[in-house]
Amino acid sequence: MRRSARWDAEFSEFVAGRSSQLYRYAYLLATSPHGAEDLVQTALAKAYSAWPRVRSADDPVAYVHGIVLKSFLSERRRRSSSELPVAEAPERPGQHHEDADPADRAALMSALARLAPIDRAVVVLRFWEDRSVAQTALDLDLSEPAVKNRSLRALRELRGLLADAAPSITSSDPSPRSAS
Amino acid sequence: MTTNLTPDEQDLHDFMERSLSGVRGDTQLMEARSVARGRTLRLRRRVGTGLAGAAVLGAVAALVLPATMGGSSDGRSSQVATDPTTDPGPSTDPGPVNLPAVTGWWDIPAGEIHDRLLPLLPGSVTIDNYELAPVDRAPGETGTVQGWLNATLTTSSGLTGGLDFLMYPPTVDPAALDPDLDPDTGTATGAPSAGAPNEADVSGGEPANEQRIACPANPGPARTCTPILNSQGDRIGRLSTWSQTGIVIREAVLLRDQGGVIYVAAANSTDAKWGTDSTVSADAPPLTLAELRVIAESDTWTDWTPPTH
Repeated sequence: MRRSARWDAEFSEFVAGRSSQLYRYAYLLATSPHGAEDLVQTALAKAYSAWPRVRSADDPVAYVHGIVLKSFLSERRRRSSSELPVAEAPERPGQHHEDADPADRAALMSALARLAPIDRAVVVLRFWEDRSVAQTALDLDLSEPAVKNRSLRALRELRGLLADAAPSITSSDPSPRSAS
Repeated sequence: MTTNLTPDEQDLHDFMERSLSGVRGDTQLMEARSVARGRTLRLRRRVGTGLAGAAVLGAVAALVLPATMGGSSDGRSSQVATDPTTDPGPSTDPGPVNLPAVTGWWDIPAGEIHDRLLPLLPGSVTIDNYELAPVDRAPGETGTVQGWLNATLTTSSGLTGGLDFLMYPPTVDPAALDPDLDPDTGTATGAPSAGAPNEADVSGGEPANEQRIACPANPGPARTCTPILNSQGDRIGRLSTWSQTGIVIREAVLLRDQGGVIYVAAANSTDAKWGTDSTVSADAPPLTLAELRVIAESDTWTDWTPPTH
């Protein structure tokens, strides 16, 4: 098998195995199904175009997650204000959202969309990806205090926005541990 | 239970899990489109590498020749501009993926957009507030806004609202490129094109400018959309209105020179994002569809050319 064909096969296997995880990650960053698809496609296109480098990375999955994050941060500029979540997000055949509660998802995406993009990235890395403050700071090229401040601010804002949808996360003040 | 979270943070994590449980995109379509776009990027990079190589050779010649001829050099090395945004960044990163950007009139700086926009606005409309540098700049991101302008407009009759002005670079049609180029040699491999099931739907851009100018197939009660056609009857844009919960968004989207697209929209909200839960700032947006169209059609945008260094 030619090397390029082998790489295509590897890439295809990677997408089949990882696209759902990437899509959910991108969904939280982009806050809409279309935005998530754009973001995943952009990241995967970059990964495909540099597949030899991706496949030789210590952790190709983390590498591609990194591309998603950087793509989100760099390409958010040319998104119009009306490219909004939920309100106009028709799901096409092929998009499968059968298990989740649509009301919860709409509330979550609407709340995340209210955050500044970098704050949203901090939230997703810290509370979805479960990365430490130090790792999040490294990934976003921020200082650790900046990550802590942004985490606290974003969490406080999400509490207010999700008061009805997720009362369990709105019941307490930010714990000092959250800044750890 | 995860490891770095307090109980309330864990609750947020669990809420995210619940909300996204079972959510997944269309894997086949994503793969097909990413492969098509990836091939375009790879080809573009290869072309960029060739140009960069020529530039380096030129720079080397510029440095070496004066030295060999007894002249002097200032000692600065030539640098090839790369796109740092494609550096994935994590600690596992073995190095950046450098992609040459497609530059053109769509990269006009925000200050220039502002200056050129003023004479196109009706006399009764003023620009109150606009952003020349990104306030939420990402680490490593340049401080210059290019290709877009967000502003607050006010009319003499007291209407206040938001303006969104965006310019999109052309999308590259991968079908116009050889789909079977070998990544190493640049020669045709004859290998079947990946993503064949959706090949007809594949676009080289994000999303394709064709999609941006198209009216939705099922506009629904909240949206009206009128295609803009050229003299040959081809669709080159759209005029749209979206209206719900008191928020009205008017959009003019037009395909322009070299395949770039101009998107200009006005809403009766000054919020950063416009949608059903945005704050209504007036009864109507500060610009009509006809006024938006005049802005989108102006040649002042496509007359701008990127500076050459």
